[in-house]
Amino acid sequence: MSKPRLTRRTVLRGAGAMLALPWLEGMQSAFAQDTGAASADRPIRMAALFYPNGCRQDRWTPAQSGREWEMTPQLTPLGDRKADVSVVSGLWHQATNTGDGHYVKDAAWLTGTTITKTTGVDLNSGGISADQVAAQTLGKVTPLPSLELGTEAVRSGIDAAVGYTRVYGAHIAWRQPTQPLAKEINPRLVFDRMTMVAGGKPDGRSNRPLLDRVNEDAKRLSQNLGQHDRQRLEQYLESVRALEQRLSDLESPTERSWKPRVDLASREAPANDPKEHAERTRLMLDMIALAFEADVTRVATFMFGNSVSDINFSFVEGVEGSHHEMSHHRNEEKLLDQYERITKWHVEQYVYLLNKLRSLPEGDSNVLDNSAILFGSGLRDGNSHNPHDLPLLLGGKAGGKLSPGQHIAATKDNPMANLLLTMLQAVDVPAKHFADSTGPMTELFA
Amino acid sequence: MNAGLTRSSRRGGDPTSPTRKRGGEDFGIELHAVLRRGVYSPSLARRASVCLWLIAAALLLTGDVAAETNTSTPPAALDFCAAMAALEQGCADCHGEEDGDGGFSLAKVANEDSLHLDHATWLRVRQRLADHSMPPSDAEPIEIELRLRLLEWLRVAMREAIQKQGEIAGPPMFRRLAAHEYANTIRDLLGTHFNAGSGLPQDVAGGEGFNNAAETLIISPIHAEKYVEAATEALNYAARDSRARDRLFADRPSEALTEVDAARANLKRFADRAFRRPIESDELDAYAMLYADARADGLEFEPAIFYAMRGVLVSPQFLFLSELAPAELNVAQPLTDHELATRLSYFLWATMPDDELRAAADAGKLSDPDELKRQTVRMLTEKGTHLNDSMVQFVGQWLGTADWGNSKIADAEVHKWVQDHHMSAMRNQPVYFVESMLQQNGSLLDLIDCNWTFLNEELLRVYKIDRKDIEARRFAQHLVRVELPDKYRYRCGILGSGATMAVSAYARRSSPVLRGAWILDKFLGIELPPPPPDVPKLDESKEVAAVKTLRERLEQHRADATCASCHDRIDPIGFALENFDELGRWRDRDDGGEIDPVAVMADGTKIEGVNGLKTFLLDNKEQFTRHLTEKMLGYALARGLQPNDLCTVENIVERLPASEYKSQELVLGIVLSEPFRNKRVSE
Repeated sequence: MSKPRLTRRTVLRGAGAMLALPWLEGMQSAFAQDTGAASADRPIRMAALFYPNGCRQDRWTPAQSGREWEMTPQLTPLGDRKADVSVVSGLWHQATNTGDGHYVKDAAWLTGTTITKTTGVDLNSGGISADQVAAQTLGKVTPLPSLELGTEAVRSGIDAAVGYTRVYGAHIAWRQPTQPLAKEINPRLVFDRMTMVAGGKPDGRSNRPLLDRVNEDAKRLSQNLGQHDRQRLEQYLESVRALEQRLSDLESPTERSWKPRVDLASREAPANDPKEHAERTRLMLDMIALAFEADVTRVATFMFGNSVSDINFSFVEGVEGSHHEMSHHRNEEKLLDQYERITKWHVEQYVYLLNKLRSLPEGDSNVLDNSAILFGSGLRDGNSHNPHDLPLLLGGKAGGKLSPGQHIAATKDNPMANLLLTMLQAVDVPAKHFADSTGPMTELFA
Repeated sequence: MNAGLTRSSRRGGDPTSPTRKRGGEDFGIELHAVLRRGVYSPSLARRASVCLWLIAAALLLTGDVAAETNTSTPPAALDFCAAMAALEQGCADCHGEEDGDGGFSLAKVANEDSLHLDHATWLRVRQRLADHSMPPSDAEPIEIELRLRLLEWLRVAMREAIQKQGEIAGPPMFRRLAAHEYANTIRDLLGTHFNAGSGLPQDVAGGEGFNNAAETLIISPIHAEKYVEAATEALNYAARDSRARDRLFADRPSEALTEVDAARANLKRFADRAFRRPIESDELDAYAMLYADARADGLEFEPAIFYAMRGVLVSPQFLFLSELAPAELNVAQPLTDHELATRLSYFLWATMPDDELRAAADAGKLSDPDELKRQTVRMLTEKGTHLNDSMVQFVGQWLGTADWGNSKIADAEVHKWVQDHHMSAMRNQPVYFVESMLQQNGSLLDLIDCNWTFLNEELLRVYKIDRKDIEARRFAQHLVRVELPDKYRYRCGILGSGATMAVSAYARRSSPVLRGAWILDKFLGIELPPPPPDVPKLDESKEVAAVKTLRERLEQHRADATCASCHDRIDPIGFALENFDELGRWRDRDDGGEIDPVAVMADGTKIEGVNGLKTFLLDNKEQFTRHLTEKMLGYALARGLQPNDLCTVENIVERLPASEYKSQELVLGIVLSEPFRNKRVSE
């Protein structure tokens, strides 16, 4: 492989990697302190909901921009939430206009970078994802810095035809360019994890001495390792240290220690490993809502499906086949119609979450008003794998920073990084740049 | 229809003789470029008289590709000179000078020795050609036909050059246990039947397509808490199991044994096994200390030991398979006996070594190839071993059948009757087949054609097999090996396993294109590029098929030279399997009428149904065994193969015919190879 040329992106990538370091140290100093404009009674959250395979491109974007825009067929599920959502059109990630039709676009949806083509060796997203940049700030005050959720088990094998490992198609959250964050796909496990995290001091003898011991064992091991392997071992140690820190805070709470905003133990546990896709999706969205309500985390990502998803959507009326299959519609009305129905189903789920968050009061406001919830795909048209003019929706007011209800029609090929930067700034993350951003989309601000 | 192939017809003659080529192209599979020593000089070549091959190359460059493929004389294989001439024509504008664009100059690779000396550069050339990123879109394109032939030439020529280098060991292993390995290991370590891996995040495949590949065993912040939780639950489970407790606490305090010494003895035995090597005394001190502190704080003897054991189970020494790196760079060093036992055990069993293998390692016997061989055969054949734990992974991930009933399920509306137990039986069928083949040292070619398979009550129903036709046998839930009468011979091997046909179909219909591409990939390792973006995708839908048959549409598609370059290879194979529906059930008719499973390849060869396809695959058995060897070696080494590994692959493949393709020879070839038994750190 050739050495990459030093481009602006490379420099940014390097900067991104450096950004992460203070956080690692910062983690040692607990999550007891509060941060930013978000006050204890009004935490600000951010979530990004990814769905694969794009949309029916002729029936997505409203004809009018500004506040007086008319619903398009695929946006009709927004219904009463129209005023809580902005449609943002015209954006793309220039860096994803390469490689294959899916992995390059999907893995980089929140990084805005070019991933390394590989079946495994030198796995690299090229950058940290926006949610993880947010987690570096917002994650300091909650027990879980972020939550990564999905619905679909990853298919076996590598995608031999295009030469990418499916790791790329299954991860949108990148803590480091070389560290994707594993996601949970079983709602019950998410619930159990949150209950445990919020459950106070764990029963029985503390695990902390055992975790101390891990460090000692690791020292012995690491003397013998090359740089790359040492990095892997270090990643395990980081996860051990984060757990140690959390346990330490749970075991010796102070006045300023984090407390759950709801009693999770009183909530009904979701079904374990539900089979139906629709049910699993709803339960996962419930988990995001619960996490935000309880303030277990303020940052979440969710994947409705993995790249080239094989999920059979015949449960949606009028659909006979899988999402990816329908996205290759060959411009035939019958397939386009099914493709459209699948997109609409995804928008409906998004609206379900928005409604749920809106139903959770918080002071004189509600959780939706205190959140920024992104929804979208890494493709426009799935048939041609077109990465221009991505379908993107931004819901919520981020505590009053955002002014939803608009259609912002950006001129063609503006960076989506600008939208991600806007979100970061809206949730009080002190970011000035993100990936190839040129500046925040000020029209979205209140 | 199901006359079947006879052994004599397909194995006749000297099995070591190279298979007959059905023409130079023959799917590009049997190409064997005859390498010539010498230096290719672009300047000389431009005068076009030095190299006879240039004439052929020039013809290709200027000729009509469609016409070329239709002639009865197939195009000749490329050699170094012809390939260089083609590259010269296509690339010299930018890469002709010494300081070519992007740091690549044709002059750098003008010498044939560069094929192995500068393998990395050639690999780049191959990749750029393969993904169509070179020549760039604004330059004169290389015709698709020639591009494919260049790729095939590169594949073969680079391999042959590599083989001259000899086998070379790879890096020492360092990877965490995959989730399934973790679960299996905890089960065997504690002697309980508790699935400790169910809460762990899913591992995604890398390398050669397996999720044990070191490079994709990523570690997330969530892992530490998941491991603590899993260890706690597993040990709690063991604490309630008196048999497990008896094993774990074989040493009890007594008059002769103090409590501390008993705890120490139990912990030593446990950690010795958990770390897959004898534990050092200072390590043991540390775990004994965890016990002592817990005991001092009021925990009882057993709970205090369980607590220290939890510490062992979250130690990276347990969670990671790690091998001591050789001190010297670029010098291969044999694995230690314990490292070798671990590699062998996770390869064949996907779990920790059993007592016998461990004893052989403790005694330092595994460095002896005879003992290694003996252990390997034992691990494959002994009753009650964990071969299934590994094969369920290897087979399921190689063929993609692991997805069936999991991420890919039968359409609930069209196939209402299909339940989990049908799909799991289908998923197990090819796994049991491979297991049985290995246990009985059957031929690898049985995977393609034979007269047996595994069936159970569910599969009889799925496949609509009349049990009267199967030799008197009572079927139950358990899959059993059965001999197939001729009329059901299509049920044998991989192709007859419904799960393979199901994962290569759409939810509601079969697809010749998906199936054809699946066979090329899984059997022969031919990875075809995705269709170029501007090519209209073929309509395979039933509605359109009613107006115009799918076959007619596909043929129309193939009239386009760009499409034909791949679909000439894909479609005939897919059509040959059309008798299998989207669940892998046999059908003579579908909605469109009678199934016509006869297809003609670009070179005029007819493939008649599944039997014809078997003949085709057997004609290409060298390519098949090479691909299978690559897959299994990648799985065994738990990493992607590197150019240095290719020589090992070739050596194994070369030896297989002499042993009549005995399947144990493949496993032994891998286990006894240089990269499996040695480690080497390169700069």
